[in-house]
Amino acid sequence: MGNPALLIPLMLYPALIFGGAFFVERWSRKKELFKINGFAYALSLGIYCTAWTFYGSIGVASKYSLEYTAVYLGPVLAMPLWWILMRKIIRICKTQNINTLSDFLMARYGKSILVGRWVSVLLLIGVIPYISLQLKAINESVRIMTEGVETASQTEPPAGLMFYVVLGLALFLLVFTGRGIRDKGLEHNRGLVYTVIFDSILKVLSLLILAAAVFWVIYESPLDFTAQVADLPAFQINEQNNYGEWLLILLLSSVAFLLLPRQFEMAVAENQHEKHLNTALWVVPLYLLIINLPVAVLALAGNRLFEGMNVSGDNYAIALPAYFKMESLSGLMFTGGLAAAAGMVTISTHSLSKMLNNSVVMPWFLNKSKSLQKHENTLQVVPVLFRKISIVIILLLAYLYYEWVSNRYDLIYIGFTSFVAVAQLAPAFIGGLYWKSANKRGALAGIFTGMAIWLYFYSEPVIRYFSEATLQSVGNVGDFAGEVSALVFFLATGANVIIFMVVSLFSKPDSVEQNTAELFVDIFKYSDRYESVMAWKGTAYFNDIETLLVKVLGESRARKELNEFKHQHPDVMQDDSSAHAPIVNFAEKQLTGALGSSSARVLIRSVVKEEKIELQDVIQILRESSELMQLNKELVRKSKELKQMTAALKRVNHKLKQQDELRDEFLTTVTHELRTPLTGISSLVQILADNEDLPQDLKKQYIASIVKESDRMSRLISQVLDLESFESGVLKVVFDYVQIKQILERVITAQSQQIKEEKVKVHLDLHENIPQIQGDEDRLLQVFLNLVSNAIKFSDPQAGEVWITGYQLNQRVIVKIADNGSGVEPERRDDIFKKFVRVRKQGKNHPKGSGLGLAVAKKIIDLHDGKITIQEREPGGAVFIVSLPVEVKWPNAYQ
Amino acid sequence: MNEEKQKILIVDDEPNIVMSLDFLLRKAGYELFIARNGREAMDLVLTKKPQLILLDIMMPGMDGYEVCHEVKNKKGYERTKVIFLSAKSKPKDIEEGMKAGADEYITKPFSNKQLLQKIKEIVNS
Repeated sequence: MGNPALLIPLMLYPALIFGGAFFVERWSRKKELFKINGFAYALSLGIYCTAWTFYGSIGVASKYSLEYTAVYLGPVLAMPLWWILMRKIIRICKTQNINTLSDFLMARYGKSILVGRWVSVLLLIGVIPYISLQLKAINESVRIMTEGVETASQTEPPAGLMFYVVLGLALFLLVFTGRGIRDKGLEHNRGLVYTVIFDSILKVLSLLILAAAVFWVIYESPLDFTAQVADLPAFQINEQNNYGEWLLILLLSSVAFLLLPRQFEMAVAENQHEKHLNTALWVVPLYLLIINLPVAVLALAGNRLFEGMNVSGDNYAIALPAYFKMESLSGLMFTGGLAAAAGMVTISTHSLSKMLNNSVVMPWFLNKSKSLQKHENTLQVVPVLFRKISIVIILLLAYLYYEWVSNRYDLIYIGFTSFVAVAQLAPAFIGGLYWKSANKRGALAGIFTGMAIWLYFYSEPVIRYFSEATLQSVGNVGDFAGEVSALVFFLATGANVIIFMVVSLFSKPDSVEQNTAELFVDIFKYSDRYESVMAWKGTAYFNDIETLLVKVLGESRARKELNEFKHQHPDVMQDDSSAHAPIVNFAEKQLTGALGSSSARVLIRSVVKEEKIELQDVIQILRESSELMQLNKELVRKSKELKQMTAALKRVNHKLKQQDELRDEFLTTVTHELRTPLTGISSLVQILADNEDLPQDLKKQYIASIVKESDRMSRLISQVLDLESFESGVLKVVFDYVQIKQILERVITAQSQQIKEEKVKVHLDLHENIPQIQGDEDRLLQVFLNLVSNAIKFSDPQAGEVWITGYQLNQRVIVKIADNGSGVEPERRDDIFKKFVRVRKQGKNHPKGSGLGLAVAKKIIDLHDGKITIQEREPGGAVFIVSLPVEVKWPNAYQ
Repeated sequence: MNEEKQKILIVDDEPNIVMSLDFLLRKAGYELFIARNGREAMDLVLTKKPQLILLDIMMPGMDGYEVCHEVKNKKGYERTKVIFLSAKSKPKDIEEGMKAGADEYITKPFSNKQLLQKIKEIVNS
């Protein structure tokens, strides 16, 4: 007992847990610290890994290789299914303030106190062996720490140590559970959750560190390690593995992950937000995977290093560092195992005590001692007191079970015993979520049948029989546990399912049950108005209900909740003397959060006079609710439609306005463009008129300018008209078969005068086989005239040259018109086809263009389903490229 | 009247309009400078210091409003007269011109006689 590697963890770990939990509780209340996010939530689900992972798992791995993974593969494989179920379960529990498994089943099966009571008892019977198993694990680890690694003989553990361990755990629970019913987030025990998260991290870290020590301290490197253990029996699924057993473990473990009280506690009662499930969906499998990797390494290392020695595989995690005298590592591993065991014990006990208290003790107390309830504080003090007594009772039972039974069995056997018992809830639980006909009688009959079979096999005679076998042949325990458990599991669960279904089908549920069934199965339909879809009939007075709430929740919290409810349901609160169904349901829900469903039921019954609910009442209330829902949907749809219409109107209005503005701008620009040449003409004409003695050459020059400006005006006018007619659809292109070659030749002829005047060289290069295309000859002529005349105008002032090329490419005819002028800057190339945009600098003394030529050209080419673009010519100049389809596919073009 | 000729700067990018103004104003006895855009105009204002600017508005780059505003706010050039000569004829165009500090706003097309009359008035005021 003088081993510091043992003593320090035994002192330090409790101090850390107590201190940490206190710290978290204190600060999470004061400030918004220590929030639970999705990741923390997922880690808290690591409560699944108990001392079993630390000890038993390595033991199985050392004997049966990969079989140890089945317990973790179950939850991993079932994770998507778990997500689907959990989303529904959490929604149901949040809607009705349910926070235990027994309350859940009770609420589903017609609020039957009987169901709640029996479920609690079953879980108590089922889980206590499992808790005792953790005590056994702690005891084993202590023994190795004190006596060395070899387990030659089963010596007695240090006297009284386990008692102190249990006492410590009890103390922790007494301090940290059932605190402050008057706070709103009553059932969220952040201190508890944070210790679980801390345990989860500690477990995985310590195992990883030990594996690393094996790799790099005990051996030289991972490679060295694999080489050293290479000759050991291969780590694989070998013939010895029984596939039925695999299936059993996969099934059992996934059910356990869903239904074990400690899992339900973390996954449902402590869940803060549905969306955290999404994080858990990938973090939990990852966690289980990571924590399992070191297990294989440690099993192999132990098998090699302890060859020929009497060291149980279950103990490798502590034996390995102890054997190599790594004291602090031994301490760490011991702490990890202790954390794994302690975490399981505290959360399981916490959860069981809640059920025991809420579903068994409190209802009994409330029924028996009506007079006690008159005292103002009774309903706040008594539940907490009973809760603490429950904790002590459960831990005591677990300790006794450990002393009398567990001590004599292998870990795995006890584990299976628990798992099979808990699995007996699965049919009623999962069936209740999806099958409306599932009823109370069926559920109870199924559960009792399953439990009877379970008890028969695991009860005293069997225990006695197998206890002799186990003590003699430790090596066969896994086989034995697997075979017996498979038999018991399939028998018990199979009978359970069949009885559950048959009885449910042939017995008539009462109307409350039908109501709760509807609520559970279709929870997503009703979750936002639970109070109004639960049928209730009777006489109740608001004052009585208020008094009851104040008694249980305390003045301030009761007022706060009531005010919130009044705010949300103004219609219900009109009449202040007699209360309606929603307020009764609301009060029951509040009481459920504080005391559990059973006590809530008893308390409500004590202040109101209930009448029997007929089936019609249930149907009526559900129909009203769905009508209301329909109406609501309709309203939402209508208002959405209206919004959409308004938006559409706004858009149209905006577009019209924009078009108006564009039109306005166009008119202003046209006016400006017409006035400019007119100004030149007018002014020059005035000069000519006022100065008869003007020299001949000036006269001639002025008259030539007047002619040019007049041309410019008439060109502008005709182009404006063209553009307008094309855009308004008055003018259409008339399609015929045309020869591009002929058109281009006509362009050259028409421009010959200009070409001569400007001394520009024109190169015409047309391919022989240009096919005839569909198009409007006059319009295409207009386009190419414009492009060629531009090319001439903008070509080099000294040595102007223009190239016109035409050829066929696929089903299109391409015409390129290039010049050797100054070109067009790349960033302005898109603008050049817009109205009144003049991009190019005029080299010679030309009057300005209309600014519409290219806009018209583009319009015409577009109407031909063609394309017009501009490119840079090497070395300098611009190339206009027109591409026209041989056949116009655009159906509108023919009209 | 000063013995020295009064200087007028014509700012316009339309060659034919410039041609007619050139004839009219030379005949009336003014010394002329011609700019085809805003930048050229500013250079000539600073180097030639004209008494009057005949200013078009729609020009590439710096427009007439900017030229007017800059001249009127330049130290030592505040007294330079500006007449806008523009085809823009909307009330808001004229208002903007006057806001930029112009002395007169004449819309195109103009009457030669009236234009000369206005120029005379403003140069001598």
